[in-house]
Amino acid sequence: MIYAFLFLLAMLTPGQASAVDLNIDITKLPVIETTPTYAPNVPPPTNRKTPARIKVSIETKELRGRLADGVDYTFWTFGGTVPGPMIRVRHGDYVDFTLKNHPSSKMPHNIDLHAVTGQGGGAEGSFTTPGHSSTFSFRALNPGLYVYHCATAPVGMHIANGMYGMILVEPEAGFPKVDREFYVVQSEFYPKGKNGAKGLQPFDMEKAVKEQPEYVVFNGAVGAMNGDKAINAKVGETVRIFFGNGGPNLVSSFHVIGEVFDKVYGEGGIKVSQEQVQTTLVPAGGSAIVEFKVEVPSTLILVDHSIFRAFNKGALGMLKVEGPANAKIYTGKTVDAIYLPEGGAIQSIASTAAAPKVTNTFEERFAAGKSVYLNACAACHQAGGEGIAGAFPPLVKSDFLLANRTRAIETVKKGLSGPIKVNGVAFDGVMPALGLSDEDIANVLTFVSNSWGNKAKMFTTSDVKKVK
Amino acid sequence: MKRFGLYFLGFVAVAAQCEPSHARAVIQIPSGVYEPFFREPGEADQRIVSFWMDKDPVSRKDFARFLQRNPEFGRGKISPRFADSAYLESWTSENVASGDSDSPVTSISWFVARKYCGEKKGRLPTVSEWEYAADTNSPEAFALISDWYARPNSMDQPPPRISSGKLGKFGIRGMHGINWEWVEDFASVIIQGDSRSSNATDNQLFCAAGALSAKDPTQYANFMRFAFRSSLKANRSVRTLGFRCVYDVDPERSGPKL
Repeated sequence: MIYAFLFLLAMLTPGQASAVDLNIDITKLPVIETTPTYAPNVPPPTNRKTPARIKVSIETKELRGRLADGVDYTFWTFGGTVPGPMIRVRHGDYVDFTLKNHPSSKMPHNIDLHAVTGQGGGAEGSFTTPGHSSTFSFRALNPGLYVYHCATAPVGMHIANGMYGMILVEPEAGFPKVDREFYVVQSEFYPKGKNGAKGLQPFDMEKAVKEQPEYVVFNGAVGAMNGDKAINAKVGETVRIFFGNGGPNLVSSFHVIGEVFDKVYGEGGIKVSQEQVQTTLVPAGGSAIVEFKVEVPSTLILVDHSIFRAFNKGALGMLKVEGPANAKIYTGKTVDAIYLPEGGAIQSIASTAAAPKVTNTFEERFAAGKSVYLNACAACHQAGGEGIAGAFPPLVKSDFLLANRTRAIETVKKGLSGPIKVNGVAFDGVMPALGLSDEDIANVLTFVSNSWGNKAKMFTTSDVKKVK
Repeated sequence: MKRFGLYFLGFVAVAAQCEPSHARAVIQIPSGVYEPFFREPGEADQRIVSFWMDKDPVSRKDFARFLQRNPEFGRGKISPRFADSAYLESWTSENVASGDSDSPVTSISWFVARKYCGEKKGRLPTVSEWEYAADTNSPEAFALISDWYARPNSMDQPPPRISSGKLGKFGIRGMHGINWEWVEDFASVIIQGDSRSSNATDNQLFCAAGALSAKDPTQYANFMRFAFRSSLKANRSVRTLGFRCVYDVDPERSGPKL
């Protein structure tokens, strides 16, 4: 009677993992074969009320792949992708795990699942020579969202080359139903070449030891969740993100621009640890589950809010929300007006300042435009005009910039959002109207259309004035 | 390891009579000191006694000749105790080497590699001899192996050529950057499957703990090689694993005992 009561209590208390019955006969459990599910997709909920025997098989493979546009890397992978497939089991399940190391591998590999209670999280039981396979079994004793990774020496290098993924152990009652679930893993890469250096890049151990990555990415590559690879939801839906951090070194400040997490299951545990969260900290080799309802149409930007990682190293993803606008929640810009400060003090200071320098010649406009560019534009388009693949279009030899002067002026004057193609590559972002004077716009366009090999006629202030 | 050694004693005796070895380029490795990559607290540097070593890894052509003399080591004939099913995987049943004869033989077990060297009156090098001859603690070795692993194998790629190997410090070719190679005591440094455990049986070799006993924890190439060896068993055949032989110095004629 008392036991029955305790059992009931355990079932009813949210966020409380009940004890697993180890005495059930595992040979009598229903056997379920799983097929791998790759990011950003999440395997469906188990929807089971009783434990099962789960067969999981993952192949480790070393292969060349895309890290950023024009940048290749030799990834070491679980299942041929970074991150590896997401595994979903239920608390109390008995899992037979097989690791197959492809014969073309140069390295032995293994797997440490943080969800596994046992020597090395399974690393000892899964250590596998190329061309062989290993099987071990474990009981899913602890519910939660867990990282798995390769733990073969040198362990840091196996992780740095891409060997990580997530295993979700659902609590017995499952998670509350939501409309969309996504699987996102952050990690960083340490290639020899600097960010953007083209060609096949080998691992740089020194940068890894110093913890100075060239790339910080979501789901394995710069732009892996951008443009047509963005994840999608509809207004009014509830979204859950299973977010992992493969590391190997950096702690993530996970944030979604334009949303607030309604609920966070902190550190990937099974109870809501906080509500109304702007940014949640996710340790290397750790996780978080976040949930939020999307209320208005917009493109939400997933970032590591250690923000230079997002804008300069690739830690950007997109969640596109479609549906009807709702001005009761957000209006968009309703007033765009000129702001003229009033008051004697300001006037008198302004009067002592040097008169604005009038620029007329090409050289003057070019020089003035350069300083406007560095102040207003370079943060996104980069000092060399090369842009950032998957996020900010290049200006170097840009057909979008050079083919149409009116469009170029319009873009700087009014801003631009939505899908465009630049030199055949699709971009779908937002450039704000920067509020530059017509003079500044003429100067900066003169500069960008005549730098880095670009060549065009000078833009004048009257050119800019004509574009309304 | 003892168990394998015993098997092997019986194994050698059967094939003690063999044809004289084919002429091959061998190079004398001078005596010297090897600083072990992993060492027990207080363990000293190792004195390496001069020996002779094959300049090149054993080629497919070399091995095809060996099979002609010893057909019982052919694919499909050898006992699974001495070679797993991946043994000579790219060879036809007639024991004709596929691919270029300038390529090292791979997918070969420790037992057979040992047998091959024994027939030449040589033996497999020890870990210390191999590491010493390959000058593994040098930056050059690290650069070669880093470059090699960063180029992934594809299944349809032709096997590497011996002639593409770089000459090392002692004039030995292709010890880094073509394949891994068998050593006599591959299991002597036991790196556990879990690279970070630190119980008494694994000599505290790994990750955090391992880094403490490693000579230089930034020598990732060495970690890779030792980890690879520790994943092996004596009957394993791996596509990227070949071998070469060494020979003790013959005191009578100050050449290799051939």
